[in-house]
Amino acid sequence: MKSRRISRASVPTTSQESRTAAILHQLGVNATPAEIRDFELWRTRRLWEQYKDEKMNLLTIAQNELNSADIRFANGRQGEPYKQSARVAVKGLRGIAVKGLDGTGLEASVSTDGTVTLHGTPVNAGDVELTLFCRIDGIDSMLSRKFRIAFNPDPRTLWKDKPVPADIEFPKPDTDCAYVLVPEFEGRRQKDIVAASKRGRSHAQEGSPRDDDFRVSFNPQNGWYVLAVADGAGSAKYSREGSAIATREAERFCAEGLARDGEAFERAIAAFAADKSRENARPVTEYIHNILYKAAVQAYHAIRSKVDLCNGTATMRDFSTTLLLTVCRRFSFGWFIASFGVGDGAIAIYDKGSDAVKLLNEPDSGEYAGQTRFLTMESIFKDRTRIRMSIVPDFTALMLMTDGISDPFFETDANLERKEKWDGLWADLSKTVDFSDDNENAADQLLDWLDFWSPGNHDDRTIAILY
Amino acid sequence: MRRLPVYILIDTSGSMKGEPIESVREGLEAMVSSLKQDPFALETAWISIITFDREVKCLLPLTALDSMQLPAITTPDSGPTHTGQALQMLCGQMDKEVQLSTPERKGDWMPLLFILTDGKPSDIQLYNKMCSEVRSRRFAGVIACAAGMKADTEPLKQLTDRVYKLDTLDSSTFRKFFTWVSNVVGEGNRSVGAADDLELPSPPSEVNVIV
Repeated sequence: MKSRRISRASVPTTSQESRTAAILHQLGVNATPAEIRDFELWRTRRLWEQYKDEKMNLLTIAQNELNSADIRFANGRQGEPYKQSARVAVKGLRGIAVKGLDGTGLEASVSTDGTVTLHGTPVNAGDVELTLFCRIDGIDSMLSRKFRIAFNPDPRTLWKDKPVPADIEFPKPDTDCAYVLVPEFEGRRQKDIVAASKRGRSHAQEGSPRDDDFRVSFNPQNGWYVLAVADGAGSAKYSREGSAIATREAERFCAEGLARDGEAFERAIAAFAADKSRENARPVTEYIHNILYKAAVQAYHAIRSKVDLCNGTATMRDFSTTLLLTVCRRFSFGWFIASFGVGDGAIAIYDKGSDAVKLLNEPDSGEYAGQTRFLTMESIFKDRTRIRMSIVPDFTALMLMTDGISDPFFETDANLERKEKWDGLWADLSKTVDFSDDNENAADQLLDWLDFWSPGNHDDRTIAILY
Repeated sequence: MRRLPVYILIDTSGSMKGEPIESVREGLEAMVSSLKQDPFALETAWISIITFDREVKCLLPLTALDSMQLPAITTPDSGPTHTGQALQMLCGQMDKEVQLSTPERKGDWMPLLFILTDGKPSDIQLYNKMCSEVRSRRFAGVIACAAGMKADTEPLKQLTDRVYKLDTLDSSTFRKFFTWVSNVVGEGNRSVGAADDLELPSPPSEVNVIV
């Protein structure tokens, strides 16, 4: 509070005191100069306090308004240009300034209407705490409000590539690829198989192994192709072995079955291709059942035997895996393809020139992401038909893939039916993989392709392509 | 894009006023910054914060981790703890926010629920009813934490089999608790598929398992 040294003289010394003495005199009050001086002091002090109180209230109100004003600066990303504006819409505010941006790579500018703009490129990842200062008229004190803005690192820079501990049970290399070169069979040009599988970033981050697997083969004696891919469940401790057993056993069982019953099966297929009657379909489905479906059953039992060997330390659930399986052969009338599928992922016959894609599996999915069914569940052998077949004149590619690929490219089951989505996948593949006949480099190229980025999709990725 | 919804319910009744709630806030901050170091969480985790005292407030509707800013948490001086009402709000929010799979839309990952309380529910009838409602829903994990000596673990056992206890309400304990929570969220991002129920990373020594 301001105080003034008052003169000790007995006559009024200030014009204010003289004015007050005159007014009092008019009112019939005769006060001594000392009384008038004291009165003036008393009045000034009272008014000053009242004035301070009122200003303080105004300040509090303004501060509250500032605190509750809807002022937001969205988070940004480290190293990426950032620009965010917010209007400080509180009446009577002036002199808006922003502090706390030194060294952040950001600057603030304030326009005449009270809009604060933060702009620049944040240098570091982390939170920036900035303070907005301002005043209201007639008061020296500052109002302020703190803001915390997070500048997040680019997720791509955070992934680690941790090796899998050397001593785990059922070890598996982080990547695998294969090329099956088939020159010709029965005088007809044949397609080749290329397949690749890679540990997902989410596994690399944890140093956990690849849970996917595949197996592909061509039998030069009878012209049959077998392709199998499997996705071991991320949450099951031995699923990498589940997928290994599933693909190995299913492929072996199919190849053996085709070597044994192939000729009769081929005759049934030829008869059906000539006349697609119900009677002709029955033997074909029976063979598919005896070869593919039973291969899946065989794979189930092989896993069961493995569980038994674990002496109570593991259950079927620990080996949870999906299985996508196809057999395929070229005939004079075209290509015959049969499939068995359990779990998610996709099997499709893709033909660039046609207007539709043929799906050869129906993915098992639940209400939440990641919910699916597994080969290791007994119920999957009864719940619905899991076998499909198709005869087509020709195709660009027969593809089997785990959800590590189908999820980022198709997202939903409905999109799997859309030919344009498959065109997109094929175009993307063809950018990295040279799908010319007999190109054995395609296996490594396909492995490279598996590194594609897709936010939130970092599961193991496996694909087998007959082209 | 598939999201991992994470719901965090925090008791803000009078007994949490002061240091405890400040510690919770610090813990939450530590959790958020730790999650931001996990690239998978940074891309997929979505967080919601609901507080409950006499009043139940959704402080933060389900928000992507990378765009979330921690709201201010306030506590009244005293009053009841409406835990049941909080669960009711949770179910309502989930109905609005959590995306289930349809042929045309990709569903979220199964949500995670954390509830932190230092007392016991005052609205016991509603609480009991909501416990069975929450139990009937699918979560990757429901983790209940009783904080402080006065916290009653019995009602929490009705809600979930995963009940934990913190003996003290200081910032280092909460920090450890929430760091563990962020590990659980990280785990939720990875363990998908066969197990409906999440296998939790082991909690720090400050977090006691209640059997």
